[in-house]
Amino acid sequence: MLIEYMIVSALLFAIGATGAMIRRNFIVILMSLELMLNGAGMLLITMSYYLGNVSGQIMFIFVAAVAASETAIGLAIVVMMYKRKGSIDINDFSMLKK
Amino acid sequence: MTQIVFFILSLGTIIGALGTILCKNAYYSAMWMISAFVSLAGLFVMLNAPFVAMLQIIVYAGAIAILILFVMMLMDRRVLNNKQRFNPQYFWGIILGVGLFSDLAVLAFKFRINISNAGKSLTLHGSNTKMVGDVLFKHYLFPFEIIAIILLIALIGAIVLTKKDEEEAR
Amino acid sequence: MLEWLTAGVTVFITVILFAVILGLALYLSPKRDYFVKSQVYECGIFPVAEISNFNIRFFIIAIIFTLFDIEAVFLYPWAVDFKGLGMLGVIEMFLFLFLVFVGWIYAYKKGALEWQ
Repeated sequence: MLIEYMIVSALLFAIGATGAMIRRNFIVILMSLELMLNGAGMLLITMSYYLGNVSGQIMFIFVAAVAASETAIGLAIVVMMYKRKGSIDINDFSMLKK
Repeated sequence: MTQIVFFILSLGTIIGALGTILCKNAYYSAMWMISAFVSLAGLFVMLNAPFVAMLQIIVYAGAIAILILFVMMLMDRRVLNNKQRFNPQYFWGIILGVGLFSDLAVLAFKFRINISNAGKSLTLHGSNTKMVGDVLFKHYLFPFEIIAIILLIALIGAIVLTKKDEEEAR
Repeated sequence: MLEWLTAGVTVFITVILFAVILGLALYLSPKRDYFVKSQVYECGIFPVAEISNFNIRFFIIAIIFTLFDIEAVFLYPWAVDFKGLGMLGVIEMFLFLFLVFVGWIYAYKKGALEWQ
């Protein structure tokens, strides 16, 4: 069963990474980042079960706390960009290029 | 029995993740994301981690997804669902994603560990939550306090970022 | 594992029930969608422009809720294992609560919780 759990977690991580690379909507990119964090967290829980050590679950709690902080800051940036430019397309946020 | 439940739950997770990144409407994306999170909580229950499963539902599906939906509710829906869904170079993104998955899959197939004590020592007095509390507050003291500082910084950062703009607008 | 069977059956029945109800409603209800129906109601006057109902205070309150939700999650294992942790756990938890409470005081001082 270990291999199936690892494959599901790898698939979740890869789907999240693909979504972060191909989408243009900033909010959907934030959701893809959440999926990536969840894929990594699922591997932590799997290893915690198969190694018989509860530390992996505690790591997942820390990951969840960091994910919430990251979403709060990311959404604050989205809101600022929406008020400044009236758009949440990632390709409009290229002020540093000029 | 276990195999069937695992298959249903992992199928729900993967379909939810695919729906998140493929749906044109951002609201539907958020709904698919919530379904992926809830299925993943079921997988965590199967891995003898009920506390983390409840945390997954409370924090991810209950707080983070609701925060994202809340921000989308406040925005103009024509801005939110813009015409073009994908980047122009989406082909290379998909190639990179498939490459990443095959890389991780090869690593998973080569991975060998001793699984003789699988599912053991995850409970203390028959309670997983008690074990988590015991290890968290005795062995992970310092990371725990660091988490408090991270939450504090996130709160201050979000308020500073949004508050400044509001004062300028007035 | 077996004690989770009831939870699984409940979730399964709920999903089936809601799928059937929503599907039937979608299939049976008449759908007449036209432009005026989806417009904003402004006392019968034609709307001049698209409204912008964006108020940033809702967002700040949502962020504060999320971060304190995380804090509450850390309280659960502490409360369950209160006796086993003893005085050290109390000191740790109050340090944690103090650090997060500093953020709440900051939000209060900056006026993020006020409505003018």
